[in-house]
Amino acid sequence: MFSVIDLIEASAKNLSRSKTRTFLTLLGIIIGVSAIVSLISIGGGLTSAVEAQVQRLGSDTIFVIPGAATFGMFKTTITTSDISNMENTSGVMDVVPIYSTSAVMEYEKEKSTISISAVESSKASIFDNVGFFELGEGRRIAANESGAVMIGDRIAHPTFEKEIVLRKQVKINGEDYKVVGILKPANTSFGGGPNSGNMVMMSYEGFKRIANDATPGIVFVKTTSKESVEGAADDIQAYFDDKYGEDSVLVSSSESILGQVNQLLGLITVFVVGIGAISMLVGGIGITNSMVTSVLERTKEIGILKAIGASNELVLSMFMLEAGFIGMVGGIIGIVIGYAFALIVSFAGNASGFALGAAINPQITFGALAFSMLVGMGAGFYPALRAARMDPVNALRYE
Amino acid sequence: MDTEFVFNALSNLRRQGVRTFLTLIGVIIGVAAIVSLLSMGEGLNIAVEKQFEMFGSNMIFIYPGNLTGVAPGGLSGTSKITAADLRQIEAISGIDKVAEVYMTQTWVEYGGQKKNLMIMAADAEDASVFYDSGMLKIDEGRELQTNDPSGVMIGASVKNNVFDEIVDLRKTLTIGGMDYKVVGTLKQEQTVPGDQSNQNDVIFMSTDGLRRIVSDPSPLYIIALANTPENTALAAEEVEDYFIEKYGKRSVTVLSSEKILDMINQVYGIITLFLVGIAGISIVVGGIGIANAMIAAVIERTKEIGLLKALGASNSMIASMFMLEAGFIGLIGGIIGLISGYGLSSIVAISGTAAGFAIEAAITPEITLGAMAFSLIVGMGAGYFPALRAANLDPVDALRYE
Repeated sequence: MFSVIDLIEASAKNLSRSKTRTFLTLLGIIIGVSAIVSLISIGGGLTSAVEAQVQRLGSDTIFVIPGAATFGMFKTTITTSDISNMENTSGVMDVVPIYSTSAVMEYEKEKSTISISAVESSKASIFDNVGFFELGEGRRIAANESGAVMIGDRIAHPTFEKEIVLRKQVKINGEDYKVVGILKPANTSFGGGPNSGNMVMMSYEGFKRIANDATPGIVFVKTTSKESVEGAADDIQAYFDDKYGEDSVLVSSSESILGQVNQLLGLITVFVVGIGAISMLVGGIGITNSMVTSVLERTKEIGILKAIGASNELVLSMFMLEAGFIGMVGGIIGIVIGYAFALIVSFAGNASGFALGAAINPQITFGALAFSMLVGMGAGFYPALRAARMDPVNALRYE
Repeated sequence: MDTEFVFNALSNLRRQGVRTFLTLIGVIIGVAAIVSLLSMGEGLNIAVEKQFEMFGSNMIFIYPGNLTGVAPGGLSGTSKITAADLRQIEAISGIDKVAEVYMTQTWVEYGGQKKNLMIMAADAEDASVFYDSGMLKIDEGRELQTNDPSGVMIGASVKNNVFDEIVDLRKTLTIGGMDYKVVGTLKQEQTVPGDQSNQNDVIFMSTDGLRRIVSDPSPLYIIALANTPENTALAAEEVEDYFIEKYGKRSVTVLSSEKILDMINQVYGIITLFLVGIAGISIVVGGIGIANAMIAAVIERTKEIGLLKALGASNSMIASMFMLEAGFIGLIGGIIGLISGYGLSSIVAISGTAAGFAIEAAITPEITLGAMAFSLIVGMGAGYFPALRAANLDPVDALRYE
């Protein structure tokens, strides 16, 4: 009797009859949807940023950290025999222990405490393109060069009054070192690496001049391929569990770190979006309210429709479609505004140094669209039911 | 009276009822969301503050190294603070006592099992700070005595959950290869969300005991007690100056308990603000609902408005009538939402406490009055334009309205 197109046309016409009311109802949905979409989008952007960082660390890298806590000075000591054992584990290509300590640096009569990380010069290339400890100016420390250091960009300036430039001499714990390189500013985000801007790098030989209890604070293990990571990680974990007890050494691949960080981010996003979804609930109630009023106003019209043969189901679907239509239009506008807001936030974040993106993908778009239509139709159900059940005789007599 | 008339009148009433009811629900949901979030956020804040109140307001915490520069995986080391440094600090006027707190992690053997646990150590006489403040509460046994190199106190989880066998008093734990006897067990402590150090999982020993397994320990942090709470800030500065002179900038982080409380308040404040902001969006939508309902009401009562004006009501009277109605919806929704919000946060607090977390639901006059005032304002604000339209209706046309 009525085609779908007729119904859609009728819906649009009816909605435009009471423009203010429709506008306000739409506004409620738009606000709700844009809130949800922007939150999901920003959350997605955060996840991608973390993923990108871990990719840079290398999906073929395993991190071995003695002592599961980040504080504590008696960490499990990883000895040279432990390192050789790791090197001999199948699937392992290279083992890079990183030693660290803090020391006092003196430059032009000023003192500051600094963090030092030391790596065997031949293996320092592991830090190329990783986002931290990358070379900015000058050069890397050559093999066995025990008197050279690379300083972080924030140590060069502004830690000390006078800026430190290449080839200057500094004293570390009383020993002389020459600055041969300055590190690039660190480019890491959550779950990424340390802020190397405030750190000093030296070769293992240089490190031995000031610290003699050299046990690595962390060991990077590079495997031959992505596939061998899990096997190698399991072997190494088993080796340490056996030798020093469970939980003595933490072994994780970049995959598992990524997984953990994603899980956490996911939980937070769900929680926050849940709160944002409350506004959708209220918006849906607004649709119900609006439809109830609309049904009442058109009582006579409904009576006429029924009188000329429209079935209850037809009236029901007509009103539900109208409500779903409001949901859909509000959803579309809300999605656009939501993405726009997320983009603004990501620009602002990037400007202040966070590597943030806004996730714009079909899943979010279609999901939000379907959700808003569902909310609309769900909200319209009760008023549509009332309309469908109206007694045509009484309806026609309604003033 | 025809039954149809009655039917019409009843359905009018019901119509009004349903609409007002739905509008109310919108406001209630929005307010409940905001209130419950605020209540829980403040509750968490209070719980953490309570933990710190135990420390006393004359405590100064000294952390070696720059706290803001800690990297994961131990890539930043810790400064070595020597015994001479400690004597110097104690000598500062305004500082009463200095206690070093050491922490380490090593493997502990008991009943044939090997587990990696946290060990904390302090000089027994300095440790009175911990007992007096209530941080450490003895369950069974006794406190560690001075110079007891082989006694340990264990946290509640170490006793009951960590090993398959329960660790009773006078049992022997092999820590880092050396034997220690359990002289006391501690009461179970509630976990404060966000607080990483849970003393239920820790073993406590004296520094002499620690020296048996670590030859040259370096303190995790140092607690200095100022002689009076008023002197604390000044004393903290002097301590900081001492370290900066000796070790240079960024060698230590000196925090008075006041500063720490401020930091905690700040963090919780930001998180709560963010969450409440998001929940606030639902109130905005609720307000839109009020505006919508009021516009419909104005249109329906056009004739009534015309009548009122004909009888002499001024424009401002009409306007205030409608604004008041709208404000009323806001207020009632606000009150019910307030109660529901508190109810929700109380449920969360009770179930949280049952699960061992120290969560409270904060019911404060600020939240209560704030929520009520806010919903009243939202209601009146939402009613503003509809009220204006009603006020500006031409009475002649209004009376003629069908």
